[in-house]
Amino acid sequence: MENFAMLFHGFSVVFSLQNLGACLLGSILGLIVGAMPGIGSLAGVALLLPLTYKFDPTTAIIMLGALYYSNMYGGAFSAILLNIPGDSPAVLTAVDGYPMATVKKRPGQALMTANASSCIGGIIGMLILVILGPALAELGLKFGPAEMTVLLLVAMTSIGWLVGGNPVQGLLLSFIGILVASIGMDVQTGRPRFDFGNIYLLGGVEFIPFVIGTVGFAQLMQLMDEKDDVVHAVTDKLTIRGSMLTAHDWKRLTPPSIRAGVMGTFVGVLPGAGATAASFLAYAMQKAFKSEEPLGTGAIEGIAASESANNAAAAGSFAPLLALGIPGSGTGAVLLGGLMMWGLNPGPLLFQNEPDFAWGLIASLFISNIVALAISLGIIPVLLKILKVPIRVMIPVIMIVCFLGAYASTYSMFGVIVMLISGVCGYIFEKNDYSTAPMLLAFVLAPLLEDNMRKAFIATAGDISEVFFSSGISIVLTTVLIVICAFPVVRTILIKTGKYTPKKKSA
Amino acid sequence: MNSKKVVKIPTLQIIPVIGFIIGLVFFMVGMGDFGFWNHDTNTPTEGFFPIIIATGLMIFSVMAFLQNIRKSGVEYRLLNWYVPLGFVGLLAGIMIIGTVPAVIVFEILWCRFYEKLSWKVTIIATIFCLIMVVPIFTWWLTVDFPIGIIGNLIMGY
Repeated sequence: MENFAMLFHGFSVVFSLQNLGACLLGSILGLIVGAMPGIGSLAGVALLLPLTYKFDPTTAIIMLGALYYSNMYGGAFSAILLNIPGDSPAVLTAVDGYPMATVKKRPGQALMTANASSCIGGIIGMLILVILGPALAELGLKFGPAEMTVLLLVAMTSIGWLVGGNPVQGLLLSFIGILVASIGMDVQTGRPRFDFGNIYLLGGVEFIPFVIGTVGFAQLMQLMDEKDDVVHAVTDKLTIRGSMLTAHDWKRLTPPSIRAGVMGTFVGVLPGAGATAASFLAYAMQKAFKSEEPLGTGAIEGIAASESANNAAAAGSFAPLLALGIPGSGTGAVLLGGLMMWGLNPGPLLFQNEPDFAWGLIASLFISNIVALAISLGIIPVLLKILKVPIRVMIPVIMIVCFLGAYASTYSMFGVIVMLISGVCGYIFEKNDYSTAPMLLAFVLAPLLEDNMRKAFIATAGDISEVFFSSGISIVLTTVLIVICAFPVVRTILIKTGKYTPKKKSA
Repeated sequence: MNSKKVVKIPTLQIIPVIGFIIGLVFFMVGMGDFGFWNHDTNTPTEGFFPIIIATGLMIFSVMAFLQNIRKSGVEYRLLNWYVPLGFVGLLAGIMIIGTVPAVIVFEILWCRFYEKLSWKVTIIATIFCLIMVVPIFTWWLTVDFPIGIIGNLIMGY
């Protein structure tokens, strides 16, 4: 009950004109960015991060939270109306959403199903977050430097093989991310290191230009491949009245939304799993339950499962982010970078030391959920016009946004050059199937990992066994770490000996 | 220039090689400038953590190289590289004529003359960009963007 009392306190924090305005702005921008095919939540949050400079930390993160959250709503729009998922979590929404819009001629109802189930999933996710967040933080208080070291290693390695298909490649990029983050001042002594005689490197590589380049600029280079694609959009005129669901539709969408919402939240809590995995698992789970129509033919149950799970996972991913300071995804890493930029250190003490901020953010997620739902309904009549903005127009505009964001964060052309170089590298990595999300996560978590690791080694005078096996928590986490590290090796051996054949990815 | 021209480059092998070189450089600089462990105080040095990571990077680079050694080159289209090339042009323009004029020229060149979009769309896109540069970033976020060599000459700097 205490948690819910704190949640109401959070609402009192959020209910200021500035915070509500930021929440509204974040929701609108998130919906637009999420709806634009090909941009995605990671690039969207990275590109819009500089817009929050003017706000105080609470307002800024409320806006970013709203942006990230409403992005999940937006991803479904292009999936349903264009058969192009705005982001990877919406891939399975397209499988049933597009047939429902085109074959069944119910585009408005498909959109409404996505919106309603997103809202249900989101509320479930947030309620679990209210209960789980402080409990996780309490557990986190038992973590010393040794436990934090192992936990951070688990987070980094698990995201390395969960997000990227190839664990070795994921770890390679994670290590590059850590080394890039180690350029500049040493975290404990303040002594310059790895600046290679360059005055600009003394302050280290700035987070914002690095992230804008790695995801935003790299995405632009990829978008050039799609700029001339012909879009087969739904041709029916959309109206709010014509999009209303019947009582029977509600009966069909509610049970899968609740099931997927609960499951999606717990998937979102796991590092690296995220909204995409939640949506895929929920869809697979729905296959085990009865649906009125077969999944894949425009079934309401399919849209509901996918959308509810990805929104619930987005809410669930805030639990480890706020309570332990460990993001569950690339977008979470960008949010964490934003928090650190404003001098806030998420972790076990956040709920105690910064209750206004922690509970204000959670309360703002509830409001964002409602605001995103209201705006989603409101823009239905003009949705097709928004979605039909050609990629050819978006590319030069986003290039300007990349420049503005990179320059504004560093006030120098050096930041812009960092952005350009990381953008080209990000494109080459993605082109070679190296996922850049582990690199971003490693870049953000590297100072925390180094600080804890050095403290742990100082405390134990260099005794490795004391670091990894000093407490029950350490032993459990070290075991998990060993399993994660052994997985790629065992998998390779099994493939080579012919005992295991990896399944080809579909969709 | 044919923008659809495809070039095959063995980047699947090149990336691990570069990863190994980065690891080696950090390892050497870390060992040379900072060392790994301070035996006098029995504590880790500034090089402790980067050296461990650099070692890991070299190991995973070798593994990634061995995994991909037989794979063929990855296809790159010239078209995708127009983005960084255009961006370098934009930066050159900013350094010479300043941010606002460079943004206008860039949008017109890209939208109207490269993409062959209508003047209406070009002007809308340009106005959208200018709204971001002037009211949002310059006035609201108080960011002073470069005014370029010509701007500096006019202002007498």
